[in-house]
Amino acid sequence: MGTAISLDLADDLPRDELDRLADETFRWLREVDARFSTYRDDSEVCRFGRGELLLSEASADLRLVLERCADLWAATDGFFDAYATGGFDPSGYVKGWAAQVASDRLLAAGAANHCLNAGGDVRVRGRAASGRPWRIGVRHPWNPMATCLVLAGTDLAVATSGVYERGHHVFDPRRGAPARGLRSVTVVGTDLGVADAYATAAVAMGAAGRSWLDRLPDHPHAVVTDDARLLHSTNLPLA
Amino acid sequence: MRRALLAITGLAASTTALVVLKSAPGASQVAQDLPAEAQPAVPGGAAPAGAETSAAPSASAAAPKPSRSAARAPATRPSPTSGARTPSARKTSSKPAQPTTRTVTGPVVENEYGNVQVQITLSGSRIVDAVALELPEDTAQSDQRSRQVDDTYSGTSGLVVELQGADLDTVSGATATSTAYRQSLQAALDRAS
Amino acid sequence: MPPRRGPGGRRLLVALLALGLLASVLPWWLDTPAGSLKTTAATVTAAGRITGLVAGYLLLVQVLMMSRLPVLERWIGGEQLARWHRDVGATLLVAVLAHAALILVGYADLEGNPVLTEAGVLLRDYEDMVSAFAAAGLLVLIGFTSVRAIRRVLPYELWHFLHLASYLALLLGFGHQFSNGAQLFRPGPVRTLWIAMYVLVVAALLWGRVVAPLAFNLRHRLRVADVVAESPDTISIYLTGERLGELDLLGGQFFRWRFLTRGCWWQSHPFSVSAAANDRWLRLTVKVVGAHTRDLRDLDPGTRVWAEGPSGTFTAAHRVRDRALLIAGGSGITPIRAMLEELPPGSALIYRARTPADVLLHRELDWLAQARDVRIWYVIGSRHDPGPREVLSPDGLRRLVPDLAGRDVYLCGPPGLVAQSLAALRRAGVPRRQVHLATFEL
Repeated sequence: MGTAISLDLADDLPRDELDRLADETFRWLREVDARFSTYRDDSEVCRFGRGELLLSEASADLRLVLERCADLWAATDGFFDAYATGGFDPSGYVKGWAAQVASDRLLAAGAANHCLNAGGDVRVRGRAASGRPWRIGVRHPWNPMATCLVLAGTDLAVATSGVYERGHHVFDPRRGAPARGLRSVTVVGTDLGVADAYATAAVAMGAAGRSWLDRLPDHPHAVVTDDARLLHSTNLPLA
Repeated sequence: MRRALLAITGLAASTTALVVLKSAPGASQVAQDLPAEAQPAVPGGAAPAGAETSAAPSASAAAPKPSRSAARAPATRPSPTSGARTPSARKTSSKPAQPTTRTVTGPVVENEYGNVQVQITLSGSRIVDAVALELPEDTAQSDQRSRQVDDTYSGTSGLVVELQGADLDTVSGATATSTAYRQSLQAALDRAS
Repeated sequence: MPPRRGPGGRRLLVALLALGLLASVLPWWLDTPAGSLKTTAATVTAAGRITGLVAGYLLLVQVLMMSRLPVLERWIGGEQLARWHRDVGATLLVAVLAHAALILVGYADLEGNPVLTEAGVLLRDYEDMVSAFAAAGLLVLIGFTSVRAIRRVLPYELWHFLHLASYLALLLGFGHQFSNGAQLFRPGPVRTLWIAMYVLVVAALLWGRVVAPLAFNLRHRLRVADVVAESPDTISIYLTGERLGELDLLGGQFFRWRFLTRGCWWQSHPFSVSAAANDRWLRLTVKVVGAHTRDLRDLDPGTRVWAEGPSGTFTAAHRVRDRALLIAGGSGITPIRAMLEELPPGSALIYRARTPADVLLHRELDWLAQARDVRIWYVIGSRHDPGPREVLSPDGLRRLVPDLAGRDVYLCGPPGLVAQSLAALRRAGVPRRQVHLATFEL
């Protein structure tokens, strides 16, 4: 899938313990990739999608993912839809969920201070090595080398969704980049999978996503619109 | 009526003239001409459309709402967070001092997609990276829509900015594929740490 | 003899207005980066913006010219303003139509819609566009009904009423400039100045149409003193009032008169004053041609009169040379008769009337001929008759007035006579700036 993963363990644990925990994390994420990838014909998801795998035969994880996708479909008025592409594609949720599970396992194993970034979805717990809360930047929608927002926290799931590529939308030079869309949405919560799905749904909603996000309970958010405005909740955990 | 016909002809002629004066062919090939890989650079910054920027290359931070008039030179300030703290920046040059990495932002140029501003990262005098920043055009309609939305939004709103010196541990961005990852700030952070 | 007033006023105003036009388009120029118009759509939209700015400016100029601002009426004169108003009006109409068409086509091209669909989009999704379209429609209607051929067919009141709707057009078009205009939607100096222009013009309108006339009429309180028949179809109305000696009136100027009696009060018509200012009375001499002028015959003494003016540059003060030739036709003798008292001695007057009975104010003219050393030729007949035709030819004029080319020529009469005379004068080598016209349209 090509998702870039980076893990920062800040606990004061022995070196080999840290290595082991890191290996475990990456192993879990590779396993998820194998089982849930839509690019591999033999993955659980593809087999389920083709009907070769029945629900009764599905693993607990797959059943959980299915259930969550259904809940999210309802919660987002259908804008998060695992069946949107025609087949079954839960990857909008799976990436965040896998990272969330990885973080939960690290916590359970005693690594209470870590920062896991899976393809842009971030789960932080505890504090960085410097002793201060983890600082999470949000990528500037127009400049990949810059940040437009900095969040900080000790127990945050941060997911960002959006479209950065040029020419992706239908451009209207008179109105600028499509003024009816959202360029980038960042959602903060405690469950990374849910945050990821919410962010994805909000982008899909376009301009209406702003008000939908505004009404969401317990999920502070930040939005960059296509006409370069940054809007964010008042209770967003800014650094 | 003769005077009226004269006036109308004058109106048509001057409108045409004004419009012709502002349309120069091939003035902005910037986005296509500047390749992403390094290239021996003209130190004047690859300023498109003639010599409107000042002669000395100036480091600048891209302003959130850049000026439309190409005649205004960008403010000068060294850009600390350009991710070019890569080994390639340490190439020796003819200058005795260590080559500095600068980010130069060109003037705002209009193309059919809107306003484009090109930001070039120079190491010494070589371009190591070029990015086309798209900037949405500021028009009455977009302004109005923004105001309408902002009025009903419960949070805060303002223009999106580029934060400097953020000192981050990680970066959250939309799905980064490995190709996009290489260009990202997260990658720069990873390389730096 | 009144002191000379040069043409400086007119030239200054023209220069100011031209400057204003440039200043109106300047924001577009500064806003548009060099070389930025690369697609057809961008170019067409840019042209649409330019014509929009021009149209907005010209509409304000039109209203300003018709505001009856005293300084304009005296410096430029109502006749000249009316002539300019016609030309600016035609240009305005073209600018408005061009603006609407160019923006429509430009936007449609940008969005990939057919033009009609785009019009629907504009009307539906953009603020203030319905009223803007309505304003454009009104201006088209006004322009259409102002075409001479059509205006002659319409009753005057209807035409006038439609023309008043141009104020409505100003109002309706106001909003869309600021909600959609690329140069005007951003708060800043340009937007502020544009609004200031509107405020200034409205202020001028209020001053010229309400405040100044109110002040004038409260000051002078004009009343009808007597109505005298000069000829079977011409009357002179004598007016009295207060402080008539303080009236800053020149012979040849006119007022817009509103007689405050039943049947007449709702109409206002321009008539020249037919005698130079004196302390005791004002006089206007009117030819009875229609219902309104017929009613004037029956004016009772004591009827109050609401006057707006004085207006006009058809005066002795606007002479360029030392001597004058006056050419009058029919009731056009009225302003000329007033001017004769103020012109330098040695003037010449050619008075063309169809029949001897149509010669007005004959005794006064003869008396003035003696007192002011004026040579008068009465030319009887229609302008196609050999007598008048011969007189009003270049050779004929030169024979009567050998130093013709060195004189101011004042023309007042029916359009046919004026046109004929102008042609003859041109061929006789009289420079255009020495020719003065009292007509409201040319």
